[in-house]
Amino acid sequence: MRSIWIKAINLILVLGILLGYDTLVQVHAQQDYIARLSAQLAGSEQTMENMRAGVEELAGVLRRKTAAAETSSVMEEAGTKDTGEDEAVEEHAELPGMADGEYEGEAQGFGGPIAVSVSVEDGRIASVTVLSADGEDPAYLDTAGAVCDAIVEAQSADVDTVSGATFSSAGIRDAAAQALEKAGS
Amino acid sequence: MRKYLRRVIQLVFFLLFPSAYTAAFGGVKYIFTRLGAGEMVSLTSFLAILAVLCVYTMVFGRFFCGFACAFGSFGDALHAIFDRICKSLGKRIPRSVRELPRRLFWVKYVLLAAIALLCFFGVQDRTRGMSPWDVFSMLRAGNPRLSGYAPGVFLLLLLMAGMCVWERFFCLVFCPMGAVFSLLPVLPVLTLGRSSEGCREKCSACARQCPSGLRLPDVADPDTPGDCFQCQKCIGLCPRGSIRCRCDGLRGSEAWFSLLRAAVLLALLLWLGV
Repeated sequence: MRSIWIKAINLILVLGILLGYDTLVQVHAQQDYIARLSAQLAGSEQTMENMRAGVEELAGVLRRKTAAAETSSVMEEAGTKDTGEDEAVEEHAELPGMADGEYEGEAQGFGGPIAVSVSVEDGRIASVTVLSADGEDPAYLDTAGAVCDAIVEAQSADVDTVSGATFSSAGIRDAAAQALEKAGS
Repeated sequence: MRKYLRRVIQLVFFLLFPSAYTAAFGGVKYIFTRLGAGEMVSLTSFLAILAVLCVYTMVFGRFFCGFACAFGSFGDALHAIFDRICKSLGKRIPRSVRELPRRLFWVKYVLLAAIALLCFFGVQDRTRGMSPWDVFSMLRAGNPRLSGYAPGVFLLLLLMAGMCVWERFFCLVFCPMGAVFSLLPVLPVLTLGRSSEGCREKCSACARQCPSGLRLPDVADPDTPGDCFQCQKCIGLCPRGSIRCRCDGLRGSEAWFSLLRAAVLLALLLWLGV
């Protein structure tokens, strides 16, 4: 039996399939990107159109209002002022309650504690970095690092663990959750 | 002498790279997970370890399995202890029982296919707690939080019992990473072969000592059996000295060659940052 040749051909096939698959996925992603861009372009053209119509409508309303204001009393002006102030208060309440700064947290990983630093800028989670993780295996820690980006993207520590590096990523996530608690979110 | 050299190399790799085998298999699972999700397979650290170990295996044979895999070394240690106990009690395991796992070598391919399918359909996380490897890694890392891992603990205990009785039981029958390695073509240059002209027909001393029960192919045959772990046990065993490295220049210096292979593997794993 020359099984070495069969094995060699199989290996080449597997590698070829993987490379072909990757190229396909890449081409698809590019096509999707182009489609999204053109949709955006079409959308923005539509928005421009809408805006123009809106501006014209607004101009019409303003013209009517000025005509009305000339005849009515000053009381109405005070009324509009009040509603403006209310809106400002509401906007303020929507801001997240995180104070800017660097916060550290620690949690149990796979083989020991993981220390994490979360930086908050403008009330948002700007970045999550692992400070120390002596008990983790480097390859696992590297894979688990994807959870840092996920936290920044979700703006919350309530994210899924990375499969294949469950313990390390759960450690990073829990440490980040602890740090965010300190930030007062 | 050769036996002690192997044990020292195994101990060094166990202490330095105890998770190389799970990381490499993480690469296999990663490929199938990404294929199932329709996402791109990119070169992660798991995949890099898998690729490097596969290339290494294609050049040197399954030296990683025989000398550097932490789970394999763990099994070897268990078997050595059990063997010593048996000898001191004067008991022997009957031959029919001893040769049982050799007929079950195909189970690992079924297991590999099953894990690949679980990953492909994205349901692999649901089997968490069942992997004896996870339990072993956790215990090794001094992580005793084993709640939810009862099936894994149970399977690990079963495997340990098997490892005691049969040398390289897990590797031969169940190891899904070994299944991948055994499907790789190996360059017929640096592995072992047998100059079969000197062999008597009924002699099977090498096959009886081999953990996989292999009678190595003739040096002229380019095949290397997929289940040969490069454990090198057969070298000093043949009464006629028929088992030797295929490469003539390395004949007689197999111990040095083992050291060289270990050094190359050590350098590769350090470079990868396992």
